[in-house]
Amino acid sequence: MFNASMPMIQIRDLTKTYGKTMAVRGLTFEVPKGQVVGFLGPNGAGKSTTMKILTGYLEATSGSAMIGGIDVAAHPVEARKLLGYLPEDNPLYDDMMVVEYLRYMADLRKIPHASQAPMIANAVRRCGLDSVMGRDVGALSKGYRQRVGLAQAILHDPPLLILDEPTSGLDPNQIVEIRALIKELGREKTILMSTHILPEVQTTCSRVLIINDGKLVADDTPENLVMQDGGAIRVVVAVQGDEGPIEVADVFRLLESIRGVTRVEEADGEYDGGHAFTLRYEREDPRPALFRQVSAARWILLEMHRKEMSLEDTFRRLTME
Amino acid sequence: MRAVWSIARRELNSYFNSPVAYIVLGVFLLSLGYLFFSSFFLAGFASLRNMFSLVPILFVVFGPALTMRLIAEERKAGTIELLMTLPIHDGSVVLGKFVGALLIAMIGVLLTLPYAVTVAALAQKGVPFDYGPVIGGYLGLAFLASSFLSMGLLASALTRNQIVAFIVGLTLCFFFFFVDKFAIFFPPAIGAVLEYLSVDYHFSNIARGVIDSRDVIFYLSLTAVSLLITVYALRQRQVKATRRAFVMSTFAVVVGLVFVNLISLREFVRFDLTRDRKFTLSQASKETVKHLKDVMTVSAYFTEGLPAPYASHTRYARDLLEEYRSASNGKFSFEMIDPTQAESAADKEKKKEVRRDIFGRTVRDPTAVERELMQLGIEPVEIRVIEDDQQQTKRAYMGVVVLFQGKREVIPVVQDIGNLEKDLTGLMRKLVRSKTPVLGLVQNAGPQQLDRFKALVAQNAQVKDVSLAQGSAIPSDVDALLVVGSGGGLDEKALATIQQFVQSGKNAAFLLDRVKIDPKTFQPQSSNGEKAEKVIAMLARYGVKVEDGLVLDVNCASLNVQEQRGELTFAMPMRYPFIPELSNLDQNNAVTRGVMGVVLPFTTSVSFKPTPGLHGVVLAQSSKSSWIENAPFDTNPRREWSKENIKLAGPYPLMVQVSGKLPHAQKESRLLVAGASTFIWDPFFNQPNQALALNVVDYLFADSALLAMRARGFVDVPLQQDVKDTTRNAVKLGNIFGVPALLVLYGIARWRLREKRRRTIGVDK
Ligand SMILES: Nc1ncnc2c1ncn2[C@@H]1O[C@H](COP(=O)(O)OP(=O)(O)O)[C@@H](O)[C@H]1O
Ligand SMILES: [Mg+2]
Repeated sequence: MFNASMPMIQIRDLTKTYGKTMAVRGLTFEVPKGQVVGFLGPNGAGKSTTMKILTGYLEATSGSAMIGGIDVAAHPVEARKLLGYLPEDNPLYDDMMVVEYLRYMADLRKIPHASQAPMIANAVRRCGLDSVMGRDVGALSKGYRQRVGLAQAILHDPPLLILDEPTSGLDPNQIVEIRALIKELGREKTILMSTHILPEVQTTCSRVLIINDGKLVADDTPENLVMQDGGAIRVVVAVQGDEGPIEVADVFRLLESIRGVTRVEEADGEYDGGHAFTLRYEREDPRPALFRQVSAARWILLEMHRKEMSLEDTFRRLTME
Repeated sequence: MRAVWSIARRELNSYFNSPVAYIVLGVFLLSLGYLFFSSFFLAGFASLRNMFSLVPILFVVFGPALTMRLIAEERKAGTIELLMTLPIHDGSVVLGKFVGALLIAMIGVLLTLPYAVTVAALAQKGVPFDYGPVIGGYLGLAFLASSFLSMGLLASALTRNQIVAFIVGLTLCFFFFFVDKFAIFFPPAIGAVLEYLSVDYHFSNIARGVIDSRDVIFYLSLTAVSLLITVYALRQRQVKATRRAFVMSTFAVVVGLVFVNLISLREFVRFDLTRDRKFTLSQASKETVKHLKDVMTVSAYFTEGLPAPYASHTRYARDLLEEYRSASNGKFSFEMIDPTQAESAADKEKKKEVRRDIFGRTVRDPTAVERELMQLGIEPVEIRVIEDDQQQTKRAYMGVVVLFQGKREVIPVVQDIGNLEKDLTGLMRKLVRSKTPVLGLVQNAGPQQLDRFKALVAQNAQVKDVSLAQGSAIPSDVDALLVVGSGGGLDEKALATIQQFVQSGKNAAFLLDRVKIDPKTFQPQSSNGEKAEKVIAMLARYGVKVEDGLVLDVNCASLNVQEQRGELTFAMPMRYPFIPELSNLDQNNAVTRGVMGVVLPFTTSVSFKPTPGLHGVVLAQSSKSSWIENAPFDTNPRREWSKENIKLAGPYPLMVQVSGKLPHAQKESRLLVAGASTFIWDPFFNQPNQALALNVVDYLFADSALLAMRARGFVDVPLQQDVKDTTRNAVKLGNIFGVPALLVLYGIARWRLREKRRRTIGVDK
């Protein structure tokens, strides 16, 4: 059934309605083998819903979802064999020992008895669970719980991992650990992972899908997404009048006149008495000219720095409308 | 399949890893043990029937308590999402949960096995304990549990709240447990459907010890439908197309199952696990209804709504007739009639018009129904019932009428339900036989007065006097022979004729008067019959020894003796040991069954000496307080019966029956020999003697198949008499508290092992 030449994930015109709420509205995308895809969107955008349909937990209202060429609605059992899934909030059986839990999952995954032990050992090693095997799942810290969830998802060595917010609720150290783990897993597997944390995507994902209100709004590499907005580097300046306040329009005029500057935007942030602006520019670094001009105008330069643009800005721009 | 077992095993483990399991099972066992054993010794029967009637109602509560968490908890914790995105079918998930719950329930039920063991051990020795109902009970509980648990599981799939799941499950189980109890409020057709829907009704069928495909199919259908809906309910937020497909397929399955159930009512198999195959038609009965040449109709008049045990009698009667019908060639039909249902409004009015007679007793005119039944020969019985919290006597009917070719046979009152089949088949055979049987009566050294006996027998058979004088033969239409008298008048030729008759496979009874009694004065005449040695020698060859002396018994009838007191003459009853009265005769033997208080005047002893190929049974014997006197006899009732002169040396056998192949015979035949013929003489022919005489004649005519039918024991085995108080208390406490205690011990051991394992796992990795 599994067709290796087919894309790992194919989603076509997918919609899902919960009563009156339309959670997913005509979503279409493909994920080829081997990609690590970040699935972004604000809360309620329909990420989890999409993943639940993909894993066969929910039925789509219309459209289709395929894994490795297998339609999840028509052949749910076959399709699910190909994936490991870490659901949102990582539900686990709290009353089982970690070892019992993993064995149970191995049983349900129909892993032959002979290969169960090495496969469990492998997942345990990769997720660093050795020291907690005899503990009840319910007694584990959040970080360990997450690792148990991941171990469960990779136990049977599936080609596709679907991870729904794998780092939510973890402390910064735990986030770094889990992120490293995912990165490592990404070398051999196709991963679709949803998240809120944008730096995570930039460091781990080779591709970003952004959805908003159930619709795909962006699909590119993290770098391209940033570049699309006209260069990745900005200069942020803040100026203040020396004697009394100055007119914003004056500042705009001055900044726009500097060579190389292509666009000036007022930036947020408090600069008591002053004004902050973000400059886009081409080729030439505008800072020397900028310094000179500001001095010439007898204004006070409060701040001037270069800023690398992040995905966050793109994300906000795309999902705020 | 593997997934089913994995899930079931996890449920089992997680259940027994949690203290809740021990609390729930413990409470179940404590309440069951307490309820059962508190009245066990009072009831005095070695039977688990009471336990099996308690468990279903407990299951109504404990079943949903067991299942409530199964899916609701997964839904609440979100683990359901894990489970349902694994490469397993939803059906496997549901089945796994179901099997797990069923295993837990059956562990709980099987923990009552110590009850069964103690109960069987306490049964009276010598009375065989019937394991059939015990096996049936446990199997029935498995089926009952599966239907309850599947409904509980369904409830658990509907919600994430366990309490809601419990209440919904409880409601479902409650409904299917109690539906039949509301049947009386509905017309019979709907009532029958409600009864069929009741899990309790089917359980009580199986718990009798009969595994019936009808009951099994009902349970499986109910379970299947519940599980099917559970599979659907497991996935929520289905889209419309799926919902429609589900509704259609469920509808199809339900319709299909209704058909299967309807068909199963006609085509069924059953396994009777009871010891004497109580609920299975015997071969003789099957043969009888299989070869009916004409239509036979049976009307059974049983009043409904009677208290136990009569209610189960009604059901047994219906089942029995059902069995006859299914074994028949289609010419057998029956109707169960509840006489109170047949009452018209006028009858009901009549029942209210109660008057008091001069003695203060209440009387009323018979209703039309009652009059009709009286004409049919069905007699009412008074039964004690509790109605409106008052003990009342209720007039009830338990009679059967069999009609065949315009002839009618009646059982006025079914006295002993265990013999119903035997009685019915006997009556049927009587009705269908092609000719009236002929009893050849050989009277010699008479004259005995047998007019009443002849008249009685003539009601069902033809009595033909047979003379064997001068070598005349026995008419060929004679089916059985009754030889009455001293036997002295039978010469060698006559004896040869008789011998030929019995060797040909026909049956004969010999009522031999060794002491000749004057039929007017009841005085023994001279000595015994003169040349009777030849008969006696013949019988001796058949293993029967006829003694000379008369048997006298302290348990005897009284004789009215004329007393003269001054001017007055009056009759004084005096005990007369020459007329032994037999009060307890074997109630399982065809000849003596239902007979009590037979008198055998002036009888000698007759015994059976084990003889190869022949089977002898003593039918009647005198009491322990009996003795033998030889001629000359002092028959004066006023004589002194002093202890010094009389040595009580009883019991003595007075009547024997011999069956088997007689010497030189081709076929098997039956003989009956009694030490006197006086019990069928007119002056002694009282009610018990008539019953005995009729049984003897029936015995001579009956085919062996009918005689082989055994009475079925419907009475529970009593407990041993001499159970010491300490034993009683040990049994009670051991079972009530011991079993839960063992369970708790197991729980602790299990917990410690798990902790130990937990530590070693932590270490070596
Ligand atoms: N079980 C549900 N019932 C009703 N509405 C739901 C349910 N699950 C999600 N939704 C709604 O569907 C939309 C998408 O939700 P979700 O897929 O969980 O978004 P995300 O994972 O991107 O935060 C939201 O508006 C949410 O309120
Ligand atoms: Mg989500």
